[in-house]
Amino acid sequence: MLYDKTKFQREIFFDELTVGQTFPPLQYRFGSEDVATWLRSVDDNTPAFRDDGAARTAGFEGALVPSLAAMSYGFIYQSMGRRPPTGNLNTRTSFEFLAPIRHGTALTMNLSVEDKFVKRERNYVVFKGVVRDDGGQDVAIVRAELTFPK
Amino acid sequence: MSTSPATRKPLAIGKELPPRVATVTQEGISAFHEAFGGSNPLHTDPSIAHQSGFGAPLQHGVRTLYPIFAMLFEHYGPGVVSGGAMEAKFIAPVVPGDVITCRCRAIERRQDGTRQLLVFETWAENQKRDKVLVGTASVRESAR
Repeated sequence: MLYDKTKFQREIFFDELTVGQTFPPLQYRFGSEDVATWLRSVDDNTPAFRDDGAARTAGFEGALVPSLAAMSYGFIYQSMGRRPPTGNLNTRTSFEFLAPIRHGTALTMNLSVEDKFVKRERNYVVFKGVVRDDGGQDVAIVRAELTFPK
Repeated sequence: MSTSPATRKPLAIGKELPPRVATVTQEGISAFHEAFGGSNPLHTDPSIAHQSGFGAPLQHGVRTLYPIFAMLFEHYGPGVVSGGAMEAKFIAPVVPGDVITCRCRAIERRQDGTRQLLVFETWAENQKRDKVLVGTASVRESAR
């Protein structure tokens, strides 16, 4: 388990979040077992995500973490130390992939609130996460738009 | 990957990558939820899903999106993880029993500084041909 769900059982509400708000950097590391868990959970068996040899054949230095896994929902909540109320939905998302992520790379995500708005009587918050590797290089920028129930 | 970037024939504008089809199961949703989801019971508890106006627990959006990433990676590898991008809007619920087909259609080649990008229209549709996800993606076709 990459993170501890017991640490974000408490809900966070729309009115507690402000545009520009930041959260403490979250450090984590996708080891080979974590990647295997991810692949099982999304029914994928891409060789370059599992095997160093296959990854080298594909032009990489070794087996990769699927970049899309670099910031999943749990990491947002872990970073906030809170979670949206029951009933929230992910309505949009975007990813910029900047560099490959090798198995075992130590990652740091800096999470912020990029936007919040009300549309058709629904509350929305856009979170932005910048994921950096242990060499100081940004490897992914992720945005997730979540609805917050009233 | 199916072919190396050096030997792959460029995809013509208007053409699609081979689609990916998967049947959604509660076991799959729960496995993702347990390992990488939050703690939202909409994904696991039928009664909460029903109270919220859905017929069944919902698949996480990122789990619906992931096959599109995997399709692009299969064909463009380094051009995805180093210089690629994706965005998606989740427009309809995905629930257990749905058969989801993910598609990527090339719509444009574009120069971005020294990089040549291939841009895709992406979407996922269910067994009724209703779109559940719409978006775009871009991959790097040339050196950085």
